[in-house]
Amino acid sequence: MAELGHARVSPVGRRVARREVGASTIAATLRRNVLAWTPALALGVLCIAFSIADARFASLANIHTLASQAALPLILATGMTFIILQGSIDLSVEGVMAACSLTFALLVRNSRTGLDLGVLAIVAASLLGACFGVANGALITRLRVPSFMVTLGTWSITSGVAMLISGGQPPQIRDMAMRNWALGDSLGVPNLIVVAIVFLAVGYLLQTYTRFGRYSYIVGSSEDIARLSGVAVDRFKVLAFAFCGLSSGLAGALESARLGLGHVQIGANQMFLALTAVVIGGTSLSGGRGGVVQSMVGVLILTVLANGMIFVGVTPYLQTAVQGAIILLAVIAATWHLRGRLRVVK
Amino acid sequence: MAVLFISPRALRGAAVTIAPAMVLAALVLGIGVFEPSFLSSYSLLVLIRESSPILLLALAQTTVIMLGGIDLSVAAVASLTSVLLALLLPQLGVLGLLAVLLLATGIGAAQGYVHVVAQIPSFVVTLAGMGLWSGIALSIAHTSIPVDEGYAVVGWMESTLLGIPVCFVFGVGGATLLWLALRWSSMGRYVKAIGLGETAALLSGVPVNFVKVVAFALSSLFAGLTGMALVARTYSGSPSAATSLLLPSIAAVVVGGTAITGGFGSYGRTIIGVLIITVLRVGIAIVGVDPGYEPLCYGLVVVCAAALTIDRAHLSVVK
Amino acid sequence: MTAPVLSVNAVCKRYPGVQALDRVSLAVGMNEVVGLIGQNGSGKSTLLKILAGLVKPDEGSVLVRGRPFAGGFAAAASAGIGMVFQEQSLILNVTVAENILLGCEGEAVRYGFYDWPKLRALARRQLDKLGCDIPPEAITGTLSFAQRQMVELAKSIAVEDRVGGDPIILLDEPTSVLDADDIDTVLTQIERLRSHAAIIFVSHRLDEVLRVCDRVYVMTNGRCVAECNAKEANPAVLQQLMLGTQLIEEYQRDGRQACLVEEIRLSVRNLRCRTNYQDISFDLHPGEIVGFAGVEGSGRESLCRTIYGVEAPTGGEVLVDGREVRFRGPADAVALGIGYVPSERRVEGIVSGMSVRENMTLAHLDVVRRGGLIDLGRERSLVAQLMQRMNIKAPSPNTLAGQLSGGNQQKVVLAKCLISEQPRILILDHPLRGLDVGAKAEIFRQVRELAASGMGVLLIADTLEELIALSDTILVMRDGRITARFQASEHIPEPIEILEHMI
Repeated sequence: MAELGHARVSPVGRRVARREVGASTIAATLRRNVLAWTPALALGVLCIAFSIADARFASLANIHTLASQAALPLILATGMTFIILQGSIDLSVEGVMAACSLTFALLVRNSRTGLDLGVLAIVAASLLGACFGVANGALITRLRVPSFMVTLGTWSITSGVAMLISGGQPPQIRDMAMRNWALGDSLGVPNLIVVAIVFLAVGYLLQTYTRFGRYSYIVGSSEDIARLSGVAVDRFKVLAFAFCGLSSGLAGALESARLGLGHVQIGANQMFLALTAVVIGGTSLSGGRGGVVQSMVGVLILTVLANGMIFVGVTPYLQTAVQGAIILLAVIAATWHLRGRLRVVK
Repeated sequence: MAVLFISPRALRGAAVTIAPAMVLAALVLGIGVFEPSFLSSYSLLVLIRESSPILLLALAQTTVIMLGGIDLSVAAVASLTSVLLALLLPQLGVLGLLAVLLLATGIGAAQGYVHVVAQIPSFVVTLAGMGLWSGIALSIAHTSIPVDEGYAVVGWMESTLLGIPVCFVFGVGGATLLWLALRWSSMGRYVKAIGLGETAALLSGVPVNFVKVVAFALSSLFAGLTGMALVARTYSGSPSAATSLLLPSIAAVVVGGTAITGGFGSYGRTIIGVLIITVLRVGIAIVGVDPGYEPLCYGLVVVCAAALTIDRAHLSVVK
Repeated sequence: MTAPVLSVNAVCKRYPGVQALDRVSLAVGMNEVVGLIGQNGSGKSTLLKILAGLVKPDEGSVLVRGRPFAGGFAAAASAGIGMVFQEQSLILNVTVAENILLGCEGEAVRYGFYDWPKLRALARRQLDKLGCDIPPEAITGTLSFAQRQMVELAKSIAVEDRVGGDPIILLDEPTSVLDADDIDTVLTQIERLRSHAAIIFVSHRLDEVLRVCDRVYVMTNGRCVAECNAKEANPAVLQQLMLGTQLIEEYQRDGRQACLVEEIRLSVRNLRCRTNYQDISFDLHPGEIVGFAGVEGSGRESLCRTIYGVEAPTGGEVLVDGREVRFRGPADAVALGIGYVPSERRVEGIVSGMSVRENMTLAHLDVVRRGGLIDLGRERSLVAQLMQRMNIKAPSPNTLAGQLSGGNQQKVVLAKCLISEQPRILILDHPLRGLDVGAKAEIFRQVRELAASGMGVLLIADTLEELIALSDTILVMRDGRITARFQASEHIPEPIEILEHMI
């Protein structure tokens, strides 16, 4: 959750405070380490607290439930991570989920069309999501409009597309094998969490071993320096949005398979959840720090919180309120030390 | 006698003001061609009435956007207000109304305060606020709450004045008040300075933090007024009353010509933007296409308008 | 000297109002370390930017290995020119290896996939050239400042592998924020680098320049005024050359004996701000102009910003009219009658999108307010008065401030501070920067008049001549401390005397 207090350097010679607070001072190192482990600690504390409050929380059955509840947010958070790493944001997740969910529902055996593509439909829906993502990235980099504005618009556009596809009549999925697979387990583990973990692994590989991953960190830390070093920044931005779109498409398809229909509201509140998870996991909103593993911790924290709150008797309606409070506190904690009198924050 | 001097700013301002008006005229005429009854005074009045909640919400956004920020929580505050009104009006009447509006203003002030003290981007604070207030509204009232007793306190909004819906007059009146306040007070100068050059404003001693808090408080106050209008309209309060209005309200401000980078803009432009958005919505219903086109158009409008009005010199790095 | 690997021929560069480079020529041979010294504003930074490809010259040419160099950062990199900037250009959250090889990972990244061992090996190779033992897998943010400077050096050398020839390294003040041990290390590395690179070393520290360089060029006011062998150079002569002999008429002192009043307008006691400056104490009397001399990093800008409330001090106190003040922000300072003319005019001084009139009244709207509302008539007349008094040339008060010339913009900023009835302290941060001679002379005159009318002025000037001509008291700062004080009433210092304490 910490950000190093490095000045935004620009090689064209802007005057900034030259003696930075030494990054290698003991205090800074301590802070760095403590804050890196805080989310995991918080997760541990929450699990213990809820187990004490109600022993059923720690039962195998509940862990199974937790796993299925965490699956789709995990996929979304993995996709969102790269966007946030680059310092952008993608508000269109819910709309993309909806559009892809409906597309998926129409591609498998369903009540409206005669198609029966099975697993291919999942691939197709994911690719459609990736296409929406590419569109997002292209608009942002070509029109040079901030990502939150563009994705606010594409959220609406994709929701509209979803509504058009749905035509007021959610298509019912008749492919029982698909439905059972989505709802079922392999060796006691929910299938969807397996998919999510595989997706997470892919994300981790991308983040550690590919140019896309490493350059996402660099673009997020300092876009000026990246450009000056000859990095094709725009290309990596589009890739990040494509990946996020892919994750939204995949999540939309899987949720449809689980619910048994395609629905325009299928993504309700998911963007908020994914964003909160990424931020409290430790990926900073201004970019350059964090990663998919941290986002996973964030997802687990939120899932445990939502699940545990029910045991403790807190109304689930307060979910979004709790998430809102959490994201606020997390961002405050992460950026408190950056405050300055002349700092302009819009 | 001041010499009439057309400065470049006036020219650009004129262009930005005229373009939306022309778009509005074109849309109205276009739909009128398709469906002549659209141009009747009856249906135009219906149009105006339809636009009122979005008008109030868009006015809420305008001040914040002129500063260069954004308020994503206005719809949630409006919904929360509607729920609280539905609960309190029967017992407390006018006092209840005042209390709720005061609360709304307080919420906005709190958001502004967090924004300036913690120096967190406005969209993060208000995104969090959106979650907070809609969650609270949901936990207070799971579905809509009907209002019969005490309705009169807000019911006047649904009446007409000389044939024009009062809620619209209320909105325009609010816009006028805001416009007057900003034009003749220091606050107006400060808002402009902060939107166009916050660093220079800070160094000139402008009370930037205070202005921002006031702007967010105003924003939530108008969101509260929107909640009031919604209660009057639907005879009930609901936690999702205004959810679908958030994007149209932002679209209205942007399409009216107020740049999201801040500095340029006015409430008059917002009114025109609101009318354009409403005409789009009503027009879609009239022309008979799938209602799915509505959010599609809003989204397209937002992206295009933002791309056209944004001041790229202001954004060194586009994130 | 063998054929030069880099030669600059009669390069000129002009910015609005100022000739940054005037027919500058120099040459660097292989395995040679060439020093470039000069004051702030002498043009050395501009020259480096041209060589690094960030800026294009208006006239003249640059030849790299005999071939013309067109400019552009990528072209510079492929021509084998690497630059270490004054501000660090490293990404702190990634490894050292990634920073060193950013943009030119070569065979360590195939089809978009990283071969970490290979990347580390490549980085290790660059670090070895410097004799550095920093592990390539370390996260850059965990290194000390000096270590990061090494990584910067390694990064600039990495350019060598792109070119297959020996690189040309440009070092822009690489040692100015390091302490003695680290400086030693860096200078030793530069010695080692020499065996396979050509180096241009820019610094204002004469002793270091003379230690590592073979030849030294001196720049003043955009011209290259001297070239000499480091071994034969006389530091005193070099310092004199750095100052130049340009003395404009207006810069002559007007013989006014600043008769210092007993009353103290501003008093600073033991002021400290983190590492920017320590232990600063001085007094400002009404009618006095106190000038600060120092190079970048000396702390003078930070000091003035603290007095204006932009930064909070970590120790010491500031007293205005005898009362201690703690500013929470510039607004508090403005309320007490302190005005500030910032150095970055376009971003910090004026709001470009607002009119001249609106800019001028921004800091003190209460002056044109009556009963809570702005009195436009009063505003118009006040602004007209001020525009005339300060000779601000604009088509009308409603012109956008962004469209005025630099000099007029500066006058608008000054007018903004003056529009209130009783401005008492004026802080000027590089007020004459980027202005043409005429504008400079005008502002010069206006500042003098303001002081004469009883205002206390704190001044940070661009050149020593301006400082000496304007100031009644000169405080010289170096590395955050005051190293010398000069009182004009007792002895008007020569620039050379000030320079000694500055660098």
